Amino acid sequence: MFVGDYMTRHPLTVTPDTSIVEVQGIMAENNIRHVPVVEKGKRLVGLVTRQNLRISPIELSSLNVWEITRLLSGLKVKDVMVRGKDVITATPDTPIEEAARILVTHRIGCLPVLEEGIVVGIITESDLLTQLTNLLGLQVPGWRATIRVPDRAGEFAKITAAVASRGWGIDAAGSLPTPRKPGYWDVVIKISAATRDELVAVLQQIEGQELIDIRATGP
Amino acid sequence: MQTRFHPLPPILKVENLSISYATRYGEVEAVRQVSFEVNRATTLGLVGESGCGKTTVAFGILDFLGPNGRIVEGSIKFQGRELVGRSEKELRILRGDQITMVYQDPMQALNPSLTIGEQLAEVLIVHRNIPHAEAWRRSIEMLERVYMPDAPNVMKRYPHQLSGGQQQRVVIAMALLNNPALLIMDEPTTALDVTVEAAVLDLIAELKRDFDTGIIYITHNLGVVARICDQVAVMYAGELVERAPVKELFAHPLHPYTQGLMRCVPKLGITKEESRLYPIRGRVPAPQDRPWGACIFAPRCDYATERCRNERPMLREIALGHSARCFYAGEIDPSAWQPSKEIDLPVVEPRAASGYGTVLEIENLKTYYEQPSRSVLSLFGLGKKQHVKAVDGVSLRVPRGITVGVVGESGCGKSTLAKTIIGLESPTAGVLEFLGFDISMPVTRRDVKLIQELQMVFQNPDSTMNPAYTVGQQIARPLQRFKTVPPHQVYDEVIRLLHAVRLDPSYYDRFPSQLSGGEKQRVGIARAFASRPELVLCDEPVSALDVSVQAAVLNLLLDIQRRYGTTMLFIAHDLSVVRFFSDFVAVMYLGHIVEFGSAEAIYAPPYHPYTEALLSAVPIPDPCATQKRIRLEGNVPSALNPPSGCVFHTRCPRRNLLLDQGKVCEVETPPQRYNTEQHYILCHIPLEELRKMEPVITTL
Amino acid sequence: MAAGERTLLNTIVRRPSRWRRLWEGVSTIGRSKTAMAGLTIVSFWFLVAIFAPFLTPYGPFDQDYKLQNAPPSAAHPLGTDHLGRDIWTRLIYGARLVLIMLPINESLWLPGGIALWGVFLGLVTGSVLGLLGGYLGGWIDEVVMRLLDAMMAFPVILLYMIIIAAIGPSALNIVMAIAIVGTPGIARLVRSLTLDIRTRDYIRAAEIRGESVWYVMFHEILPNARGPLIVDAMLRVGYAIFAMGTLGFLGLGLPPPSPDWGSMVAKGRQYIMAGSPWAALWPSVAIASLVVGLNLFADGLREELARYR
Ligand SMILES: Nc1ncnc2c1ncn2[C@@H]1O[C@H](COP(=O)(O)OP(=O)(O)OP(=O)(O)O)[C@@H](O)[C@H]1O
Ligand code: SF4
Ligand code: SF4
Ligand SMILES: [Mg+2]
Repeated sequence: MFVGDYMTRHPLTVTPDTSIVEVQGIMAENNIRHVPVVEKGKRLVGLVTRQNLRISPIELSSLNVWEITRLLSGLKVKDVMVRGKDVITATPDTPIEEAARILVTHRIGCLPVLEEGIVVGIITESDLLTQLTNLLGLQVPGWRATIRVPDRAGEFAKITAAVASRGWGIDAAGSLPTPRKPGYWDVVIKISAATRDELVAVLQQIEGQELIDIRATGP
Repeated sequence: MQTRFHPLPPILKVENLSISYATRYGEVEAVRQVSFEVNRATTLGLVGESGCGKTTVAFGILDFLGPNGRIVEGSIKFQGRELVGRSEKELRILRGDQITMVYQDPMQALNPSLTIGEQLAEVLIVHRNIPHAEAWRRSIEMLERVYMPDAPNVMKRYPHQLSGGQQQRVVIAMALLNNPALLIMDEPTTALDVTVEAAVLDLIAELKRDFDTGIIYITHNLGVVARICDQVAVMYAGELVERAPVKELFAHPLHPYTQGLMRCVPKLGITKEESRLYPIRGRVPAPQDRPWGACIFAPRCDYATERCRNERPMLREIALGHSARCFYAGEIDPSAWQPSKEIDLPVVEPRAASGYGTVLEIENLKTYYEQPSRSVLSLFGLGKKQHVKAVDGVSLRVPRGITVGVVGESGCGKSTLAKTIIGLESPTAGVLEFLGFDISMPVTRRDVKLIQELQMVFQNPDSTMNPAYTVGQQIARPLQRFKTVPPHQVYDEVIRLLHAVRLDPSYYDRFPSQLSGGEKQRVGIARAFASRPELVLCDEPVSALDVSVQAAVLNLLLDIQRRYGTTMLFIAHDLSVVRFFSDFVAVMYLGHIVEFGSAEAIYAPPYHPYTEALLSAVPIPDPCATQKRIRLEGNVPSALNPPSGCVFHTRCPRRNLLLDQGKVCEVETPPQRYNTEQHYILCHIPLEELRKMEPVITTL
Repeated sequence: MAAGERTLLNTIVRRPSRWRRLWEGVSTIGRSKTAMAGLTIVSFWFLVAIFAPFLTPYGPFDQDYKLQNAPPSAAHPLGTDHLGRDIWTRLIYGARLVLIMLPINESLWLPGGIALWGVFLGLVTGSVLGLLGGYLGGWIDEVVMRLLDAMMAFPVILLYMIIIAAIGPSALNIVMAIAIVGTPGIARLVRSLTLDIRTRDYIRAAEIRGESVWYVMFHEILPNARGPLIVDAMLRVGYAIFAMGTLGFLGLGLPPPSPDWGSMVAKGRQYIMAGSPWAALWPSVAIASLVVGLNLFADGLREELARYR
């Protein structure tokens, strides 16, 4: 699970001399919020985001319509972009959780992915959130079971053993410490091979664990 | 590709693109209002006959239209940004190195005087400022990525030291070093052998997945489309007439042109007795002759109505994601189609292989080419003479009136066999008898009577006719030379022959430059049949032709053969065509016939392992058919030192069925085992074992 | 397909005649400015050569002792030489020698000038050698090519001088010299064209009809080498004219009093310092303009041929 696997390759890019109007068009048309700025050989020189393009209302109010048009048409990407070194980036072998941490701590929405200074992709919040849904198996139809287990070794193995004994496969799994209940973890598994009743029967038999929720999810 | 909740923007979006060329007829539109999209990690197939504007579209995207071409209207959005109307400099920046093109001929992209390594590394050094050592290392990695055997050494070689398939891999590797968002491939495998083609197609499919590259794949081969495309756009006479996902297109072709194309290709496993090929009548109109306010396909369409001739249909979506440019798309039922009276269909009667007597008798025939040895000793005549064993012990009996197909990869000796029979090469050893006469001498020393009975049809329509003479003169020459008819009847006879190949008398005075490929091939056929020969050798007579022309020429050959009772030796690499056309098939590998039998027998188990591999490599025009995936490694070994034992042992994927991983294959010549009286296989694996194998192709 | 095309229009309109093809060829040339410029210059010389007797009141040998080394005047538009002969007259009669007539002896001459005959003969021998070498290959090719290499090793002028010194200066011998000197180059060109053409399938088709070597060489191969060969021949006529000039200048040209351009330059040179450059200047201009004209024509032709390939 590395950035290289989940990034968008061949991101749309612009050059420093692209006009702001055009970038706005590109963003609106393709429904994207971040565009890396590159020069020859796809080397990263900056990043434009919707924020960069916003002109503060105070500035605006001091101008008339003609001045605004002139201002906008004269502006180039290089005038507004976040410049080279200030752009926070990732590499294809950054783990995705690390990428998520960077996004959160810096309060930014995307990371251009670089390989020796060359843009090879881009990973955004929504890419990472999409992977969260995949992690928990939202993309496959089936049963999503939440099981509360004590925080000790071997509990997860019990679940897998129980499921495997019936010949089912686990399509997705994830676990987090139970909120506000120290000493427990909530495990979510996704199983598509079983019926609801079979699954409930099997999971309820596991000693020391509690099946707290089961529901059908899927695309 | 990973599942996404919001769709990514397409890599390329072409809308209403029209391109014209300035010619001596004025400005003519070669491409008209074409629209399509290419997404990440998908392959869009662009299919259609020659001259339909496929390459022009590609060049339009790349701005390679040359001095006389220009984009008239429309929009090309690449990575969100408009390309039309920008200056050359802006375009260069916009496209960056994000669009790469791979051509049919790999040598067009390679510099013959630089090593592979220099050329690959240069891409990174120049475009990416990557230091030399690093660039070199990455180039090797990329070569390995495209399954180039022995990559570090290949880096030091020159392009001409590689085979065609390897060159094409280098070109693909070079394209990928740039990590392009869009890869345009113009018939990249057309010049390659089926086995190599299969490997390259696998590679392309894999790369598309791993690099998320969008691919435009230009081809006229429906089999290739079915194998590797996700989306297909069918072009006809500069217009996009149908667009659909690949399975949908093959299952429910909506446009009459697409339906017609599908009727032109022989399905693998279909014979001339049980099925017909239906060429589309007429031909693609030249750009200056294309009507505007009408359906462009109307002159060739079996469903055309008054409306079609007076109004131009628009591309409209008939089913989800499936559009066609036809007024009646969706209403036409292709299964109810009947051939129109305008196309000539041959009558074919099944023939038995015996009773008619033997035309050609070949016994243990060997044709070796002497290879000048490079050692110093050879200067004094002392060096050991080396021989390229192009044909090495071939035995074949061809009964009268029968067609024997010969298949195999290039370099396996098919053409040498033909040349030896026709007398352009002299056999080194063996018996070669034609109508009971010995013909193991070059053509210059053969009796005129024999020469006349043995003629040939060639592969390349562009070189089959002498550009300096008219059609009539060229057909008349054999008539005069062999005195087939008295001198005063020569003209009438030529007209009769023209008629036989369905060309009208006005062609008599035309020069080859005024003919299309298919017409040249017809003239070549007329010339070969002029002396009313007993045996005609056809060396890949249709492989350079478009599918619909191919169907017409095959029909013509069938018809002429039936009419004159001619015997034929039909050499081809397209296994579906061979199967369709031949009564018997010989599979050749490195100078040997490894399997021989009736067409049906060859295409069903038991197979020779080589036949099996060939069959699994042919692209079949049916995306739903499943095909065993057997890929041969490496190339045909040099015929200078053919492998010992079974010549196929270096590449045989079935050896492991034998004891000891098939040690025996390396030392002992395999036995000739007869499956039936007329079907033999040259292999150590017992027939029972071979019979147990599954058929290569299963259609659902 | 044929059925669809068997239309009336097709039968009538597409019938190409020889004339039509010829006209297409001519209009092809017309499209190239270079070729047209060259053609104009060359035709000028052909015309004045043909109509020489009508374009001057003098004969080429008429002397006027009162008017030696005169500058251009109304009576003598280009001036006169050291014997008082009209330079214009000698120039246009000289053009006859180059382009129009080949004197065999006092009373007999053949149509076609020295340069043309020389190149033509060179073309014949060169083509035969090139075809033989290129088509048959093997030891014949080796022998032919070694022989020609040996000849090409000599500087062209030296070769001319050796040949003329050996067989003596006369119109016929100069023709021979031009032919001999031109042969190796033409042979090489024909050979390389042949090597390409002989791989075509129509050559195979002829061979399997059992056609003779000569038939294949002259009927199948040569017609297809025509285009480049014509262009090359044109250039060679230019070289030949230049060579004739040089020979004349060196005193190896046509014996006096022939109006040989080279000899005219050689003689006139002696009077340049004496203040009358005309006798040397005009023949030099004539040689140069004809050579340039032929070169332009050949170049233009080559470009047009390449474009419509
Ligand atoms: N440079 C040019 N000048 C004039 N006409 C051209 C030029 N290039 C192509 N054409 C014409 O444009 C039309 C489309 O040609 P194009 O090469 O795009 O076809 P294609 O579909 O790629 O055919 P093929 O399968 O043979 O490669 C043809 O009629 C061709 O003759
Ligand atoms: S619109 Fe008419 S002529 Fe054109 S393809 Fe459809 S039916 Fe045929
Ligand atoms: S003899 Fe051996 S190597 Fe040859 S085809 Fe049979 S199994 Fe393969
Ligand atoms: Mg093309």
